[in-house]
Amino acid sequence: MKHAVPNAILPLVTLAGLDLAGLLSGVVLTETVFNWPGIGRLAFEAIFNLDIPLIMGTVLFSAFLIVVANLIVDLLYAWLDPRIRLGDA
Amino acid sequence: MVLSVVLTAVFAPIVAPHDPTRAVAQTFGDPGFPSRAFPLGTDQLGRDVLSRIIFGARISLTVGIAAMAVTMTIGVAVGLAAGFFGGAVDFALMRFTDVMLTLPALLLAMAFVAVLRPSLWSILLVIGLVSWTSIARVVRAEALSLTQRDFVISARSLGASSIRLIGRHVLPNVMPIVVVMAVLGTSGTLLLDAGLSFLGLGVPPPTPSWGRMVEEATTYFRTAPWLAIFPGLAILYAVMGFNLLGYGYLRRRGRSSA
Repeated sequence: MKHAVPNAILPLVTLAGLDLAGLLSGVVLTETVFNWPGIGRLAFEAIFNLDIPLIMGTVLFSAFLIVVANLIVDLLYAWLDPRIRLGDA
Repeated sequence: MVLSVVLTAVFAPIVAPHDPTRAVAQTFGDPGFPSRAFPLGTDQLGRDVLSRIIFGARISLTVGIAAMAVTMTIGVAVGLAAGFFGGAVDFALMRFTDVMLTLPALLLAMAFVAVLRPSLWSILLVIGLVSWTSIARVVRAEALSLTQRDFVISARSLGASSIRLIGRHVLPNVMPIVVVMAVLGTSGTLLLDAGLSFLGLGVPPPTPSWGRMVEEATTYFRTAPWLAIFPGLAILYAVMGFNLLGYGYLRRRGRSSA
């Protein structure tokens, strides 16, 4: 375990970061189906009512979430793999 | 699997037992259980579910494949330009691709469709505009490695123009992986189209579309579950078919997935 997990965790973390975009797409569908009041349903209703500023806001917010998640993934890289240093060329 | 879906879509008018847009059963207001005459049941307006699924295959397949064509065009063009020219062009195009990658696909597609009125053409364009980034990345990697190969360098030293180099040397060698990614991506565009139709932003009614059929079935889920089960199964079948086709081809060629 001590040998397999540290080596295997890097691609997993990368994919998790990349998958967040897909998850945020799915959350729109899921929240609409189950009628949960959340960002997904807010986005859906904004698009249906053609509320342009709200649409821009939700898209901006999800993009922000994804960028932050990718940043965390990159920082996690440096912590997980001591061979990678932040800021090296 | 894919062949059966494609054949059903092409021969739809012959295969479907009833007209999918006109009511044929007496079940207005009350969905009918699957019976001898209507193998998959009828929906709340009296339309035959089986015919709607068969005609829906036409629409879904058209959207899936045509959207994939749009995706391919944009993605391959961007990837080739980035990989071949390198330098500043590569940097700028890749930053743009990264920006497109951070925006969730369905959300962006919904926003685009809300602005352009939902119709067959706008759906195709929108799904294509949203899904090209993965293709562009893969094509760029391939183009980068191909540009350094001997035959391209020798052709360039013989004085071939850039267009000729890309068209005759780089593009044909990039095509195999592009074709595989196209097949795999079709499942993605099919799902995206089903999602858009489910949210009401797909092809306008009464044209049957699998996602829209599932959406219309949600109100009747307790009393008439077959209205939602069969379109859902159809979506599953088509998407899985394209996925299996793509992965099978990849495995046969012995290459790991891109």
